[in-house]
Amino acid sequence: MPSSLNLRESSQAGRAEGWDRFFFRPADPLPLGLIRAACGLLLLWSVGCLGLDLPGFLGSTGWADPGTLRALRTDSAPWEWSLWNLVPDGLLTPSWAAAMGVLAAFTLGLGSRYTAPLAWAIAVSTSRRNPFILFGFDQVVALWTFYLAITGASGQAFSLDRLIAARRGKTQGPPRPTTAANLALRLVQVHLCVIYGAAGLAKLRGVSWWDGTAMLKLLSNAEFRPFDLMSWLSGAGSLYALNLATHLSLGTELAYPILIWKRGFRPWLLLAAVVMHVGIALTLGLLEFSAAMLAGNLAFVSGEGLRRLWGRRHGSGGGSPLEWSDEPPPSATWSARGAASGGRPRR
Amino acid sequence: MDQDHADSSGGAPDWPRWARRVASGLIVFQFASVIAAELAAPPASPLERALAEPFGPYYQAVDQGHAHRYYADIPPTPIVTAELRFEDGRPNKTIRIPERSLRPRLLYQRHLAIANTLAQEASVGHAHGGPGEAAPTAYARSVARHLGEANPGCSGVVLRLQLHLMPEVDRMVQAALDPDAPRIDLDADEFYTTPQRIGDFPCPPR
Repeated sequence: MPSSLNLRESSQAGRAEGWDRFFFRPADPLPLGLIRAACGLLLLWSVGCLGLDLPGFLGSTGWADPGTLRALRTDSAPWEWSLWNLVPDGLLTPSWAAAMGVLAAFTLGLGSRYTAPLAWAIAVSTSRRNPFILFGFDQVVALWTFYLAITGASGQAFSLDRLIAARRGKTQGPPRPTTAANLALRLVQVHLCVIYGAAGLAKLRGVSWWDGTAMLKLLSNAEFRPFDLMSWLSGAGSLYALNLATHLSLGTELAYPILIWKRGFRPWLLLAAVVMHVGIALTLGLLEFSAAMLAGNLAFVSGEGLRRLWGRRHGSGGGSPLEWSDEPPPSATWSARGAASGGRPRR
Repeated sequence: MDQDHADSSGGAPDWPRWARRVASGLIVFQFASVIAAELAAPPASPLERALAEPFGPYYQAVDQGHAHRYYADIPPTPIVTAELRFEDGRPNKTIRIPERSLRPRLLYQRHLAIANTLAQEASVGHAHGGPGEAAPTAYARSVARHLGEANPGCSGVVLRLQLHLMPEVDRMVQAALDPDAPRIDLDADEFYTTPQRIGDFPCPPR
């Protein structure tokens, strides 16, 4: 009969093995490639839009002059940095053009090991140069780009890097699963759960999320709505629909961090996230924020499922795209139970 | 040649043990910092704020955004109006921030964020005894200076803040249930508060 010491050691070893498999088991880099492309497009769009008023957003006589920023930074944040602080007004346009070039390369997955960290540096620099124009979108897209940059895996799939390697005969077929890709996907997944969890818990403080009127209030915010949805509001049914949308949004944010790890719930949670973010884009006009959050949700989609979806679209694939594979694996692989059973990852 | 399709390692990590240990330490640090930041966002206890304090330099250097408490409250939206005066006899010019016609919409969102910052700073300024006193109004001066630079000939800028309110819920429910009820115009004057002055700023000499 095993002693309690042996059981404890075995349990600790199982936990360590579970941790290792959760973060370091090789995974298909395809979803990561799509996240990179999405983040790249969003950053291109964001920095590109700043180009419409470059002196205003990044210049020394802009909305946030360097003197104001310096005063604020010295007071509270000496470690903040921004490459834009090094750029004189006369070089703003060429520097912006260079930044756009880097972001375009990052989007296409060209020189990804270098362009991903540079894209992150551009995102952070821009946020820090003018911190008064930011909203949730900037935070989220910088986060995903950070994880793509530090793992160096963003160009392993769906990239020019891979295409060039294939042309040179260095690789062929679908990309090989890698530990770096899994780590990046796990970091995005866990952070996404933190974001939804924090957003959901914070909403519990607001009465309107309990009495079901939050969506009604959001719809009636004339400064946010891209078009008038209030005119569609007619009859008790529409009010009930808004109550339901309020409760479902809150429910999705609260349930997501827990149930997304259960394979049976995952498609439904992802569907709910898609509906919620499309709703945010339509009612509040926060298109970029919604796109950034949906890009993060791609971390929970399997590369296999994406290939199946692509194959079906092009008439060459077999099963349903909703036949979710184990890739990336759900929480069971993180448990000591899963580790102790010695279960090998299924593909 | 690349080993395609199958994971030749049989699912085993392709990083050495030392690399996994280093990465594990960094993962723990990263998510400890993330959770601490979420907890420390207001409202937070002194304990929660103290837990986040050691991560301060990391937050500043890496810039991950801290709290994600989107729309926990649904407040009215601040609108800033800038009234520009000209010495050459031109009539005053009024600029709305955010300007509704601004496109692409992302720029409108950026200007909305500027108005939000001005509103927050103005309320902090008033709490400290009025604008023009210290750091809270530094951004207002910066905005006024920018508007002066962008409008040659401007001699001064008055910034004013007002709130764009939402209708009472009961009124919206009534309007939805009663087909004969008058339609609510969300842009009617009744939904704007009286403008409050943030400050009167001289334009920079050119």
